[in-house]
Amino acid sequence: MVKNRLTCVIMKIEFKHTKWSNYLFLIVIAISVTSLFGWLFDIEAFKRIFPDSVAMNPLTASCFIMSAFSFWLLTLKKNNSFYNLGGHALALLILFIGLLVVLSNLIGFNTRIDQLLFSSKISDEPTSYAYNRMSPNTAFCFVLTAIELFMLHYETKKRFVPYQFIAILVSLGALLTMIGYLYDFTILSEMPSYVPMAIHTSANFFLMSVALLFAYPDKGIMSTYTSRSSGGKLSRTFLLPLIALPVLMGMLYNFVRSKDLVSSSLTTLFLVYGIVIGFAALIYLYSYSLNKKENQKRKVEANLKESNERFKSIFEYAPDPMWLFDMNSLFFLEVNQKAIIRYGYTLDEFRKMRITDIRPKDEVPKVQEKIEIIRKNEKLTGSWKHQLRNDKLIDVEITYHKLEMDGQEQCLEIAKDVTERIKIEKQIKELNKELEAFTFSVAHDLRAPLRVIDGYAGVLKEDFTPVLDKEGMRLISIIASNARQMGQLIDDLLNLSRIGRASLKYSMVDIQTLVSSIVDEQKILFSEYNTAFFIGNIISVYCDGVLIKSVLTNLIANAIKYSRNEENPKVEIGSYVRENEVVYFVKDNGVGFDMNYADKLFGVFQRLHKATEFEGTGVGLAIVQRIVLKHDGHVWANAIKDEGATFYFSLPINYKND
Amino acid sequence: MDLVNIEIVLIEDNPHEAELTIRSLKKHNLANRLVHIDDGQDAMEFLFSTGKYENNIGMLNPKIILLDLKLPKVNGLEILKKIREDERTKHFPVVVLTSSKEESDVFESYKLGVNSYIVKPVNFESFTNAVTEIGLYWMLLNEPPAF
Repeated sequence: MVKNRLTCVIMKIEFKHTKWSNYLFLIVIAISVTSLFGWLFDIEAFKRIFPDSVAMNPLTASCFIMSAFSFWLLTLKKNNSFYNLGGHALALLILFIGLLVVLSNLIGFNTRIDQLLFSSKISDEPTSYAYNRMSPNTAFCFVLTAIELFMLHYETKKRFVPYQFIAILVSLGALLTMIGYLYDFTILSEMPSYVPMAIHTSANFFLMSVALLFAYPDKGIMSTYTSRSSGGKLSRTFLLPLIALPVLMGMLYNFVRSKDLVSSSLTTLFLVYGIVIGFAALIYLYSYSLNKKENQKRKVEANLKESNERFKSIFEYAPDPMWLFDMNSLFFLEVNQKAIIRYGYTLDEFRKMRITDIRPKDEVPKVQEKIEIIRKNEKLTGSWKHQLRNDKLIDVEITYHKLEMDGQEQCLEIAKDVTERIKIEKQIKELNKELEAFTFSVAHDLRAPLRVIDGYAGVLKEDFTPVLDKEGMRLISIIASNARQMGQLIDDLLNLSRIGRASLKYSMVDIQTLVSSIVDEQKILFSEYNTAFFIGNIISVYCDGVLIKSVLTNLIANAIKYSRNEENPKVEIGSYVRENEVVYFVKDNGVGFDMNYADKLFGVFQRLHKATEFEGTGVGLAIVQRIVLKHDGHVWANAIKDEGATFYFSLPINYKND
Repeated sequence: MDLVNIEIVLIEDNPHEAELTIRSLKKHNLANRLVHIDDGQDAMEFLFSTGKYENNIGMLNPKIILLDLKLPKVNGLEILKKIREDERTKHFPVVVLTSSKEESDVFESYKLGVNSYIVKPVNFESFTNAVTEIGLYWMLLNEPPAF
């Protein structure tokens, strides 16, 4: 298949050669028309290139033009019978003219057909009448050309193209005449009874033969010449030098001989010697470049082999089962080691199976559906079940990639075994449920006895005041306040665990407004402290509004609490942007804390102040930290003892959109 | 006590919490026609006249049912569900009085058609106030459907 595609590409390149045919025919027409102009306007240089040499007969020029049109009619629309008919009619006319001239020469009867055009001028030629007639070999070449045109599309069963041989014959004849002119045209002019072929006529025949040969550059013997393989390159490289070198050497020989400088045998020696050296050099250069190219090719092949093996081993030793299957027949084509180990089939067994054979029976109808999706989208991912050889079902995550190989639709499938993961996920879910049940029972079961303790202490206080002395009443108060403290502790802990389990609900939150409302609430709750609030510019950000409110409430309430003993308690709230995050801070002028214990600030039940100084459970900052970390942010604090503390937290600007 | 005259049904398994609740109601004379049930299954039998309460059919018409969620054998949510499903008990006002603040409990209760959901405060005064307010509201302010 690959080979076919390659041939196709080559054919495309080769077919461009047919353009050359058209160009060459255009040159033929140009030369012929020029000659006709010469006859029409009596321009000698157009009729004959050298004075006193043979002219191109007007009929010859016309025959060339007819040949060109016949060729175009035959090749432009191959299947159009009208065009074909025209082409063949012109060829027939050429054949008729050619035969007539040849025969008239043979039997010595002058038909004067070649004098039909410009007859007065041809008979009035001052130099020699014979120089203007159509020569018999020109006529013979036209006969051959006409036959070529008739046989243009004919190819034998053994892929011979007969017209090509005739074209080569004509081109060789034309070449002979041209070389003859090159060396010594006087030889030909010495035969007055014989009308020779004009030089531009022979050039025309040569060009026309080449043009006809390039009509089918991919057929018959031409295919060897135009091939992309080394053989074709060789013939293309050597054809021109093969003609040109001996011809040039011959010219040199003639020149030297004419000067009579050296003896004839020495000149011949130099001629042969020159040709030998010229070809040896040419062959050396060609071999050198051929070797270079083949070395490169070998290197590329080696690289290709290496990368092929590399990919093969990536496939073979991949950590997940992988295979290639045919998208039409669904048969397995290649299966890697991991798949063989995991699924329990051997490679040979796999190759006799379809991908539906490893799916549970009820999922088989869905397979075709998926195949259609892959055809459209090139790839597909999903998770479903596979059946092992021992009938065990496993959960897999699948990735499909469509591949085109050898013109077939194939599919690479990677099956990641997630059975274990799904099992663990299930366990986690169950554990979470258990945890939820546990927290519920903590909430209920621990709170109830506390309520009873506080309740009965309350009853004692209410109903037994007369029998209890002052000390008794104090003790009862201690019992009650501790019960309440523990109730608060339990509530805070439940809160903390609820935050841990909650999923974040992101939205754009106007934190400026949020802070104002929190400050207003706190002002009412702690109106007795006369705290002064300074709210700076607060930047809005994507976050869970409810949870961030809890963070800010905790921090602001703390700031109020720890600054309440100051003369002029102050709480400042602000924000700024730092790299990819917004930093919020709450600053107070309160008691501060010892920075040595800063790492303990955010731990559960960790307190840096005595309960008698400042009440609290030590859970608030733990809640703050948990919420901020859930947002992928950070919390930290700075403080100077007895001068105040600043609590910071940061939230990323680019929120995770999941 | 005559079943027809029962105004409050208190379903609460902890005897001490029940005592504190009843005490708060008594202070305002609201506990005269109160019946206390301390077990889920018992509550079901009482409300739907089965088991040992077979003869009660059609006689019960309380002004309020105070229902705890965590109960032995049959939990509060199941009882609430049954109350709302049964033609005879569908219209009874039910107030959940519980320690649980779990959102799932609150949501589930309202979905089943509870009239009110109260979380018991740990603090004694707050607790007493809450119970008193419930009692006053349902016993005196609220107008029950006539039968």
